[in-house]
Formats: sequence, C-alpha cells, structure tokens
Amino acid sequence: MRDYEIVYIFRSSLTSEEIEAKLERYHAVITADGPGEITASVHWGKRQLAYPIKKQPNGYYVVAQFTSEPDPLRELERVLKLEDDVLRYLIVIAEHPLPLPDPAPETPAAPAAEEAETAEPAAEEAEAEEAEAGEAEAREAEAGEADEAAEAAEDAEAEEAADDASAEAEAEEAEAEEADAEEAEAEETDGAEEAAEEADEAPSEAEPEAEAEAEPVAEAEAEADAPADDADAEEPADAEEPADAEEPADAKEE
Amino acid sequence: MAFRKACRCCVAGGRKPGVDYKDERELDRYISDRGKILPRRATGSCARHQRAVTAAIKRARYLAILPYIRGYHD
Repeated sequence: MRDYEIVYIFRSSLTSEEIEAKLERYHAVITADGPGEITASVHWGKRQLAYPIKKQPNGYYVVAQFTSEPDPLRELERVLKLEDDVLRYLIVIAEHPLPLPDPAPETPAAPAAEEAETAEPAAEEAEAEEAEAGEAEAREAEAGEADEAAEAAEDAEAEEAADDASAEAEAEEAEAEEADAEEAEAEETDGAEEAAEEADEAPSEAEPEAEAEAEPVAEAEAEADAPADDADAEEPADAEEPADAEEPADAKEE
Repeated sequence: MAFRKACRCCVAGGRKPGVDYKDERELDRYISDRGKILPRRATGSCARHQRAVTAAIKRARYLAILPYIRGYHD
C-alpha cells in the first residue's frame, strides 16, 4: 500500500454533475477490489491553462489523494487514457498534505489581495530583525544548541504561515478573475463564498502569531547563539548533504 | 565576505520534501521571466532541494500550472 496523489484536468465544458460522475467511476477502480481508499479530494475548479491542451484554454482541476496497491493503477491509467474529456492527468506518490495551494474556485478578490500584501512584509520584517540582532551581539555570546533548534523551528513556522496566507490569497485572486466567465453555477458560488470567508479568517489569525513568534526568537538568539549563526550556520547543512544519499522515492511517475 | 544565501526549502522545512508541484506561487520564484528553471547560483538552493524544485517545475509544466515558455506565444 502506498499513498498516491492524482491530478485530473477535465474539459471545462463539462457540467459539475458530469465531472462528479466521472470521478466516481475512476475512484471505483481504486476502491473496487482491494484495500484502496480515497483519503482526500479537492476541486480547484476551472482554471486557465498555462498553454492550450487539445485546443482548450481552460481546464477543470481536481486533486485527490488515495492509498492503493500498485496494480489498480494500471487499470486506472488505461481508463483515463481512453477518456476524451480528461485533458490530462498525473499520478504521483503523495508527498505533501492536500489542502496546501487550494485555490478556492471563484471567490471575490478584494479582501484576499489585501492579505497578500500585509502578510509578506510581516515575514520579511521578522527575518530582517532577527538578522540584525544576531549580528550585533555576535562576539559576546556562545551558541546554545537548544536555542538554535527552537529558532529554526519557529522561523519555519512563521514563514510558512505568511507564505500560505499569501499563496492562498493570490490563488483566489486569480480565480476571481475568471469568475465572471459563463459557467458560474449557483451551487458552486455558494460554496466558494463560504470558502472565502474561511480563508479570510485563517490568514489574518496566522499573521500576528507569526510576528509574535518571530520577535522573541530574535531576542533569544541575540543573547545566546550568535557566533554559530554568523559564520558557519549553513555549512553543516551542506556537509551533511552528500552523506545521506537516499533519493526521494517519488521518481516513479508513470 | 560572500555568504551563500540560505536554501529556502531548508529554512522552511529542514531536509524533507521541499516545494510542492501544485504550489504555483512558490514555484514561480524558481523560474525566469521566460519560464526557464533558474540555476542554483540564482536560487541559492542546496543540491537536494534544487533537484526537488526541478522535478516539481517539470510536473507543474506538464499540468499546465506553469508554462514551458513564457512570453513567446502571447
């Protein structure tokens, strides 16, 4: 059993019922015989393709994660290849939890755009502050391992939060531009509004947290572990690099 | 004294997966205005994550999330 992820690009002229019906059919291939199971699925909705596929400028994206033995995948691929309404599909081993870049289909752009602007400077400021503090006290202190680890972890969190926020915001913006196209359906827009509300709340909460976390860290670092930060903070990471030669197992991308 | 820029993926998540091929916004940092994959000297990525980024970009191109060429057809 492995965790897989599949991305479908459907012809955007299909109705949502048609798409649901097709998805059900494909997923039945996985769940039918054997212990396969669909664990998550997200509709990105209609999206502009970066280049036309089969003369189509738009596609309807669906991402799903599932567990399966390898065998049903062959059948699934066979079915998908015969399918004319699937412009493209990609099955890969899942590496990231699903609701990451979730461009909620067709949402209003305005609030999202504002967040994108506020979220990013916050992250940059935090970084800059930290860097200054580190340099200023560089010679006076000694490195504490615990501090360093904590700092790294919190840093990562802060940045992720900010990034997520802006990524979502931008995605929504992009979607919203397409939103006025012909195919706005009552159901979908309802769902999208809810999603937008959620999205609005989530990043704005995340942002102050990110700042709050980043600042104390900067101080702590100034006291404790500045020299390590100064000179060879990155070198150990590089040095470890070749030692550990395990390749990510995801090369399999049929 | 030139210090190497920290690898973004390492800063964000340590050594594990790196960029998601579905994360258009993040991937955008690693391609040129023509859509070409930027070299390590420009991205500052470590070897592991540069490979991951490259793979992710190629997947994203296949799925028409990113263009193969930008600014040529339009």
